Amino acid sequence: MRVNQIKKCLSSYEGTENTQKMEETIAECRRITRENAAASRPRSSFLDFLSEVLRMNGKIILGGQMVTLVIICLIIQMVSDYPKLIPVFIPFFILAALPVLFRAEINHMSEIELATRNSYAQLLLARLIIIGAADIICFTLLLAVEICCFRSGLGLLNLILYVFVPYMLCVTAMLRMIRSGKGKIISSAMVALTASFLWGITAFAIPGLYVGSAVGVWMICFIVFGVFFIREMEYLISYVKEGKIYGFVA
Amino acid sequence: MKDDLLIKRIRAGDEDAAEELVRKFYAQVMRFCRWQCGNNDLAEDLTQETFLKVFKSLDQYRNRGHFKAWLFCVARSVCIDELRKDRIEYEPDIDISEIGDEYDGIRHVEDEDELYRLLSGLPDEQKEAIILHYMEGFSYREIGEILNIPYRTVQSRVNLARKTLRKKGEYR
Repeated sequence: MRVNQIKKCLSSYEGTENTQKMEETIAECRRITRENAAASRPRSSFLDFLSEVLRMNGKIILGGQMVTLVIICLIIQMVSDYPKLIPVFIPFFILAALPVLFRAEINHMSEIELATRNSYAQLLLARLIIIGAADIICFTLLLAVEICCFRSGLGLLNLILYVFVPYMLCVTAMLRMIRSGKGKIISSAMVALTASFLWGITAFAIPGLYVGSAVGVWMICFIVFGVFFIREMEYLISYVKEGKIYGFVA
Repeated sequence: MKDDLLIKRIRAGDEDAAEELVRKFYAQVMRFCRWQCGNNDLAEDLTQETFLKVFKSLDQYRNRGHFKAWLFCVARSVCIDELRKDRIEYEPDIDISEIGDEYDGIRHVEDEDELYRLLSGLPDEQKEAIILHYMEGFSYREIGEILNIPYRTVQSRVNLARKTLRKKGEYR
């Protein structure tokens, strides 16, 4: 047998095709193609998602924070001993953000949110980023108002610590409660109000805590609460990365 | 249309491209499966399974211009799995026993049935190499990719098979 004979025979060989079977195969392959295309539809990136959340919640968040800021400034203007009252009012910024953070719970939409493509952890992280950004703007304005208009004589570092220590305490407590599944809007509001109340008590009971020389104490508090705050944020980010269910919906 | 372009369209969800790809390779895969299992009905099932497997794992294919080789690699693994599953004995549609001793002396192979009988006498690895090379037109390198062996091994298998066929064809 020669090579060209083998070639000729093999290349001319036609398997007897069953047209029905081929059509069946084509139909199946079309179905798989359709399903694959649906499954691989690109998911939006976190930045896209963040911009969507900003579009939907941005005005409410910023508006709420601004209203809180104006009210606080007006109140501060009326009291004489305002620098030490700053921590009293900081939890109100969190309080103003609670309706947005607990929107799903308020509107009874938790289950629907759970079923959407983005997890509750992602949603919460996105909202926290926006709230955090809004709060930084508000705190900067608050400090600017204090320094320019009231001139209490306290250093900028003191004022920053007065703002961020109660803020981090509130956010950490709220995130911890949400993570443990106990975080409802009422309990979180209670945390914010209790924190405000406690800072109020310390402002009058321990006035020495609000003098320039007490910066060390505030610094320690800042570091301690900062560590807890970072840990909570790490937990939240790890939930987002691992796609685990977070908070009360878990 | 080039295979990789078809794959790109299929990945984008183009069902017509999927149909085009199946129509383009169906006969070849069917033919290969038939040579592997020797049974027409089983070959049809295996061909279908091959295409379903290919479409389901299309994301594993890296566009390197060797789609056909990858397709046959899948077809081969499907055939091997099937043959191993039930330890199917080689059951050709043609009854070899009917081909008797009436052929004497030197004769030429004139039809595919005769070739089929001759090929069935070859060791599996040689049969596979020669089918892929002469029937499907794969290069030694491509066959090496399909069978996962060095191309020189493919070359030697094809040469050995050719020698055997030549001998058998001449001295039957």
